[in-house]
Amino acid sequence: MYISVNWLKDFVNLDGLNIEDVVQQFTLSCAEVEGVEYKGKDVQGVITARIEKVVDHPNSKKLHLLEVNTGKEKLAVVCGAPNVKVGMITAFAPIGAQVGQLTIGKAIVGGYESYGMCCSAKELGISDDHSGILEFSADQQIGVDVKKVLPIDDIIIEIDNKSLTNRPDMWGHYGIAREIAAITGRTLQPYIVDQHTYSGKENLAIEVLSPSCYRYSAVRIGHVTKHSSPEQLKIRLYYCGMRAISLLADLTNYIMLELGQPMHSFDGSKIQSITVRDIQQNTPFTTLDGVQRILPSGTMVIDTNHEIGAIAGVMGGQSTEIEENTDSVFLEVANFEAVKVRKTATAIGLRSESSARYEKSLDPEMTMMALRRYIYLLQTIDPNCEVVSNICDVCVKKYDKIVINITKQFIDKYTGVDIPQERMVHILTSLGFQVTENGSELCVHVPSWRATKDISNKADIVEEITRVYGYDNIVSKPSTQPIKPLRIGTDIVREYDIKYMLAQRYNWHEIHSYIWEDQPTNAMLGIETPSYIYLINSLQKDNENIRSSMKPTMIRTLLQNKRYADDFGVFEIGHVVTGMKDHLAQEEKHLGIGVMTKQNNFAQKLLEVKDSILYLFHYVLQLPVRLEESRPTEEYLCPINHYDIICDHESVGNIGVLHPKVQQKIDAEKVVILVELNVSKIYQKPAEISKYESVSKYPTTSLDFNFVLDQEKHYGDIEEIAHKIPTTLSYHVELLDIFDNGNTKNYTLRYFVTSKDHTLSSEEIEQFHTSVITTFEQHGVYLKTE
Amino acid sequence: MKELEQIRTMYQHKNKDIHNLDTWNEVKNLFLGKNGYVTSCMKEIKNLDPKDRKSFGEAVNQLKNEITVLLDKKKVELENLEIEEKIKSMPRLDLTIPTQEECGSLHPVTIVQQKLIDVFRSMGFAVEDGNEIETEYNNFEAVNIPKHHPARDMQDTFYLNNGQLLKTHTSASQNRIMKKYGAPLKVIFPGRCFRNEELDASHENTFFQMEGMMIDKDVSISNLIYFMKTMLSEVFGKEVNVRLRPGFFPFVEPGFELDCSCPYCGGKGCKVCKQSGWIELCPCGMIHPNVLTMGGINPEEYQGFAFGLGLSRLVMMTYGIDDIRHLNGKDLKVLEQTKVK
Repeated sequence: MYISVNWLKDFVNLDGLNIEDVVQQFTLSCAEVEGVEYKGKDVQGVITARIEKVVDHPNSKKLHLLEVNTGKEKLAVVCGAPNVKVGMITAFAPIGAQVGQLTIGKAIVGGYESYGMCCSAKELGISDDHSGILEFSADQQIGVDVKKVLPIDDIIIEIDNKSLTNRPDMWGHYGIAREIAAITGRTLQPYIVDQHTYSGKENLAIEVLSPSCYRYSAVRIGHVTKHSSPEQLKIRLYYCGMRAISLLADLTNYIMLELGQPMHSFDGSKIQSITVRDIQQNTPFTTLDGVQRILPSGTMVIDTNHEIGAIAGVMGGQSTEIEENTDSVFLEVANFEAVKVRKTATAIGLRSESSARYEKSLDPEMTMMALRRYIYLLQTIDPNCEVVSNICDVCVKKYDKIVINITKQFIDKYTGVDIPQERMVHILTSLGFQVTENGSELCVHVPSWRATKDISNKADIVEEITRVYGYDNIVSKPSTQPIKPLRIGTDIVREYDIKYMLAQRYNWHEIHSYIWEDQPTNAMLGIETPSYIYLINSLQKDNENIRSSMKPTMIRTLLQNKRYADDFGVFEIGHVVTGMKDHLAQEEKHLGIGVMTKQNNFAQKLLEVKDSILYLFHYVLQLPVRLEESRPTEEYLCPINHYDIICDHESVGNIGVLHPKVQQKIDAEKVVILVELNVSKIYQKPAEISKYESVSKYPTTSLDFNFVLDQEKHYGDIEEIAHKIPTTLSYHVELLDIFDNGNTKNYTLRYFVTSKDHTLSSEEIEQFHTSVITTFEQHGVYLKTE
Repeated sequence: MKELEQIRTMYQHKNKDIHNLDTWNEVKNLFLGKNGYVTSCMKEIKNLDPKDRKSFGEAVNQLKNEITVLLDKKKVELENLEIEEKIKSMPRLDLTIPTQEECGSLHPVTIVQQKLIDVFRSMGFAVEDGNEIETEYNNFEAVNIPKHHPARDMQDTFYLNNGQLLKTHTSASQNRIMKKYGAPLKVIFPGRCFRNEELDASHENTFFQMEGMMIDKDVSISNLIYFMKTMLSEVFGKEVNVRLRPGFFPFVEPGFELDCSCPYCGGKGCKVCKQSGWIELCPCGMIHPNVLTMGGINPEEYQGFAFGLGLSRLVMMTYGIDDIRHLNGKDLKVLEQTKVK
């Protein structure tokens, strides 16, 4: 929203203040300022001058040769404007003057010398009208700086609309002026409106049927003789981003920019009756901008003479638009329910200046203020006009008056500083609140323009006081909370240990990826992956499915980086949805690892990946783990070399290898190893603390055994047996060697056995030897026969 | 006695011939071995006239000691020589030659996030994790953004087919955390957030925030300023100033935009702070009474502050990354630059 400093000065005296400082203070206390623009800075030395002679250019249809009287001298000027005429007083830039980027010098135009330039309103930056040069009234003195005649110099402050979302009162100059008055300690000037009482005139036929119309105020004004707005008014509208159309319409915009209250001017001659209602079925309607729109059932409309004349709060229609020379206006100033207007604007995709304001929940008290301001301004500009109806004011809903009781102690506790009570009261009063004091208790009456939704509780009052008091005046203070241990939430902290290990020990790279699948790439690779939930409004098509596994992400990342190195790995701890429960997504955090290496390095790399998982469990998480061969459920995985990761008797993840049919689409020379680990699940498992065992001072004896196993079996199948030797001695076992003869596999196990309190006798050693063999035999595993 | 003198002279000759351990052993054996000259002389003692025994015995012992000392000395010399030889034969390496130390990388977000977590944990804040898929209630209603509230306009939400959504801000976790732990509470909760918008150098649909809450009986705006200032000073590794500006966020009242004095130029104005000397970093405020109430905390008894730090932005500032798309870009040439330390 654009705010004109000239306009603000109508309401608050800013003399002696540096505008930059005021803007800075406004930013720190009220709302975000996006920019400050100095209008008129690039217009220098332009004066009023009279065109004394107009001669057609001999070689050009467009150009004229003028004699321009500046009051001091008469100059030859070549001008291309179509509206030049003798006696016309216009804006003239003599040699040396500045107009926009242009510094005027003597020029040859169409073969004739020109000693200056006549200016259009656009050239002076006060309008986008470039149809002809500016024309002043015939009685305008010549040789005067145009800035003395027109308020070209102004400072325009652009305020971020988003920061005004909760402040309907700040959607106009008067509200901004109120804020500035409060933060600068100046006095806000009263808002001057028409004060007359109208009676015995026409009673307007107005019917409000929609409950979403809270207030409808209207009046008819006749005998209007002026149709064009004064230049000053036009410039203000233009500087604030609106175009001047006609006096009767311009005034509605002008007052909207003052108060934030949208209003609508119907052509007075066209309105017999008004009905505000919600339509019962979808209905087409052509808005002022000439576009036909389908209004959905339930839209609140203004019927004029029993036909739709406007979409309430959004935009009027063409049929009741002000005609150029109308002498009468029917003025509507209404208050509509914010949500209703917002829904309509969203539904038909039309956000207007009006709907933007209604959406913020406007103060219903403003309707009469705006209406009477209109009468006042119109009569000031066009004293001939006359109010021809009684003022009609239909109040359907009133907001409750809000009174908030708050104590100084509460405010002090909230802010952490001691603001004098007198200052608190002064601040609130300057913002329009009424305060009655009872000791340290403040009884705060919220003004109507803040009471629609903005201010409703004590925290709101604290904000009003502190922002004007100045946040910079609140000193930083540590808390006096007692210190307590942090019992909650260490999962993220444990995640760091995992990530550091993978990056430091295994040299893999952490990535971040999207939570949705990349369907086209999956399709290209031939990867199908279940998705339990999908996005319904994504701007990126083909990316709707929420992932259920980290593996496809890992595969795609390896594909994307396949030229990065011959051998590399990536990992991510990300969110996946693995199912639905009671219509809610079951979300888990999974670690995904993807490693790509050359074919000839496959076995070594697979062992390294396996090592990383064991290391992760044993040393990072301190949890037991084992691997169990299984069949992958994913078709894009190789049917062999797939293992479940088992922790605490349940599968918490798996290690697998990319299926060659997918692999060949990435790089047939390479192989991809994938890991998926449900970290949400393993976080729930308590770490196991390994107990201390005393170290034997006596010699250790080693015994080797050579067991035979079927090809199909794994070491994992006998590992548990190996640790279950019934003995009182201390021992541990290592796998020394595997020999594969093609039919069977021989495993050489080496046992280290000792006692904690004596040196073993040969009988004891013999007994242990027998125990080992017996234990294995009980499980169908026999020593190799020579 | 003359015999001993001959042995001594002979040793002096032989001593010169010792060049390595083998010859040393030979010489040692020749004189001190079982049948060596000196040993033989010693064996002779018992056959001598008892009156000569003492003087001869002393002389033999002296000779034995002399030779032993000389042999020991020789051995040390030999060993030193050998070590010198070893050193000579060792390869001399040039460690100024560049080597490729291999190391994986952590994502820059991870690194900056960990730093923040460490700072907050050191100040007694717990760390909570949150879901990425949330209910409308948690994301909006519970943080005081009812249906049709204009604030919902600020956020382009990804909706899911079951009515849930991808959380648009970490505040979506506030309600759950308050209900789970109650007051008093000091917690941060980093998380990934989603906005349904087109990507460009400064807009991502998936980005990180770090949210925090502190709730107790007398938590004030002063405390908020203190924690934010301390945290940012720790993060940037230098003392920074903070300032509050009004900011509207439905879940806080009063709501602030927190600016941090630019740590790169010290507030003088530079490219990072767009010449303003301040960096807008962190929406924050005192938790709205409605939000506390919905979280099961009595706002008459407790107050608190909440803040949401734009983590992705902080990461970009920290590393001078100029395009936010790099963060989710999965390009290892980019990501490998943040090697773990």
